[in-house]
Amino acid sequence: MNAEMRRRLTAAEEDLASRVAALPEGSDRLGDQRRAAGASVVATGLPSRRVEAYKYTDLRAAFGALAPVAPPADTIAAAAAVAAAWDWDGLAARRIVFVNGRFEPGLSTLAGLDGAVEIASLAERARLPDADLPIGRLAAGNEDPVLALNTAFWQDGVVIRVAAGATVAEPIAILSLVVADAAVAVTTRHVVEVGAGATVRFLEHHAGPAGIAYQASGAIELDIADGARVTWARLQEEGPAALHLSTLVARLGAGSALDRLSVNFGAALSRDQGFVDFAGRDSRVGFEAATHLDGRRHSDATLVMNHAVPDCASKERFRAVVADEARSVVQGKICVAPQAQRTDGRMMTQAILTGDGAEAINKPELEIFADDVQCGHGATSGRLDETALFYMRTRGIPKAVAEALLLEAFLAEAIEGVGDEAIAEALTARLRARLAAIGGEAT
Amino acid sequence: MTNLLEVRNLHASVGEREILHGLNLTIGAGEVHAVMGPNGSGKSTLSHVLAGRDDYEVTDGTITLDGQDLLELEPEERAAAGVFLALQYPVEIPGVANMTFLKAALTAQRKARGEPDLSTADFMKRVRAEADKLGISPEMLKRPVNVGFSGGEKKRNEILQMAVLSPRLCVLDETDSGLDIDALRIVADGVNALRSPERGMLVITHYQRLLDLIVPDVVHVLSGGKIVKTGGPGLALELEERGYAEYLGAAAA
Ligand SMILES: Nc1ncnc2c1ncn2[C@@H]1O[C@H](COP(=O)(O)OP(=O)(O)OP(=O)(O)O)[C@@H](O)[C@H]1O
Ligand SMILES: [Mg+2]
Repeated sequence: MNAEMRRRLTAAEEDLASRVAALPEGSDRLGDQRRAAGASVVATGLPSRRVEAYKYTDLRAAFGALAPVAPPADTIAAAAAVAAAWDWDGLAARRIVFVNGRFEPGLSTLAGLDGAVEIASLAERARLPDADLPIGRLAAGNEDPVLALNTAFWQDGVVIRVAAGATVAEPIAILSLVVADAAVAVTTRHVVEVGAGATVRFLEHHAGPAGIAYQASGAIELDIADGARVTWARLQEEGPAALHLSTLVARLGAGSALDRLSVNFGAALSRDQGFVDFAGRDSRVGFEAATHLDGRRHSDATLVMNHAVPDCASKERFRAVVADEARSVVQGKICVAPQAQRTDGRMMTQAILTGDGAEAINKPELEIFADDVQCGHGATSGRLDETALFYMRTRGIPKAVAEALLLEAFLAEAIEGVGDEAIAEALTARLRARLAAIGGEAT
Repeated sequence: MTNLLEVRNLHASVGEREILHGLNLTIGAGEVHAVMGPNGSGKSTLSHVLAGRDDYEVTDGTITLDGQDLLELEPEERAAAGVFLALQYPVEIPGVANMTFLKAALTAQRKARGEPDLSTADFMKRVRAEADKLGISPEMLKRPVNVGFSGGEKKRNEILQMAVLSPRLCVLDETDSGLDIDALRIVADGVNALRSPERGMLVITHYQRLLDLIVPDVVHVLSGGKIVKTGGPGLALELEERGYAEYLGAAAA
């Protein structure tokens, strides 16, 4: 008997195996890709804490069962949910909308977007004969099981192409909503190709109902050509009972830049993982994360920064406020290949724990094979500054307000790190509203 | 004249250690009192206990402001009631702009007192005017509270907060330390401008030069956790000449 057969399957894994077996037969590339990805997860099982990369986020334990694939949402309910969704204080006027994993052209607003941007539904493209979808190009060779699950089961997504040299004035927003009153699974996959020398901003927003244990999975392949500049801001505010898995696979050409910000309010369990490859010299990546977790939320930010070429810089800052009995996990890895001389790689993880049962786990890794590099990481974790709190209170600021101000200030520094004032202002306002709502609950 | 602040038989400790051993102090409305005393005698402790810092446990005695029991109140409630402490060591607050901080403080205090909030325009006008008098630049107002401020700038910033919040009782803990000669004069002018018949002041200092500029009505010597001597402005001059030697024994007795 081999080891695979001895491993006891969980209910979710049994379900997974039958869903993979049920994937449509056929010899097209896309079908092959789905089946191969599904089979790889069936073979290894869902990642448990025995898998190093999932040590603190045991998905085998977390997935009680696989939720059924979300049915299309009721048209009226979907429209109402989209209308009620936050519009990034007006920034998200050009918006690609997904409800329950399906592109909703009727609820999306693409008018007014620069003509240099081409947007198409993946599901629609896939129905064309000989569809040549760019899915998996960047992700090839990546064996991460969460990404593989997404590859096997994605329902829909968009391909966005930004023409070389274009400067897109309006940000492009992607809204992913779940509208459901029972547990459902939602899987989206996007491919974004930014042409050489283009400048563009993206706003990614995830939200769903409170109290429903839905499962949302999203993956994005982001290809940034030489000299392009991309700002990517993401807001994850799934419901407190949800499970949220998100993967970003990015590749940067020479002389390009990516500023990525993740504002994350967690879910029952969430993981935001990034795999970033420097493929050309003189490029720069900034990764900022501002996380606020309450209740028993568990949030995992995992990032692998791959310096394969010389003269690139990456800077990561993970900031988290962890309340109640919530847990924040940060796993940051900087890999520097032997030829990647003059790499500048820096990572900082900082947490403020406000809850008695709150926890912050930090696992930094440096794998450096070049000698002429500047790489480092640091971490701090502690309570709110009591002296500052007292000082503010002596000025008449009530304790709850003072706490919220200090927490906002702490997270806003990461938010401002994205380097786009309008986006930072909108997201800081969103954070402030959340802190006020939570503070209100506590008192 | 009614008494603004009354401290009766105040005993306060940190952990196991008692620092104030039955301190009595009365400040009438309109009066400026100076408190002098050797290092470690309990001056800052008194100021923190007045402001409500919870590291200090009050084991006996009373503190009232306008007859209201201060010991019952949280620090923010004391502030709304009119207590202001200019700290010996002002605190840095990264990420919170000076202006935001002042606005939050004034808004909260007015709300607590049931007063209408100031419009942003009126607020800005008021802050700018006070800042200008204290030589605080608009750029400093935008910076995070006290972060990277020089010692003297921090002290001026405390006085700015005091001027904007216009408290009933101003407690100044060594506001003169770290100030250059010009800044000392600016700060003293700021404090003197706040002298009024409704307001009381407790000025903690080691040096006569501040009291030359802010002339007190009453001078106290605090030694070994008690007020051991009270006199007029002349007492400060005496101390300047003779030091505290003669009071060190008095405290123990
Ligand atoms: N939090 C604390 N923990 C331990 N001891 C303390 C604490 N605060 C004050 N003390 C002690 O209490 C005594 C009085 O301190 P305090 O700061 O009130 O003195 P002070 O009169 O203000 O002195 P200075 O003139 O040097 O400012 C000192 O011996 C000090 O070490
Ligand atoms: Mg002192």
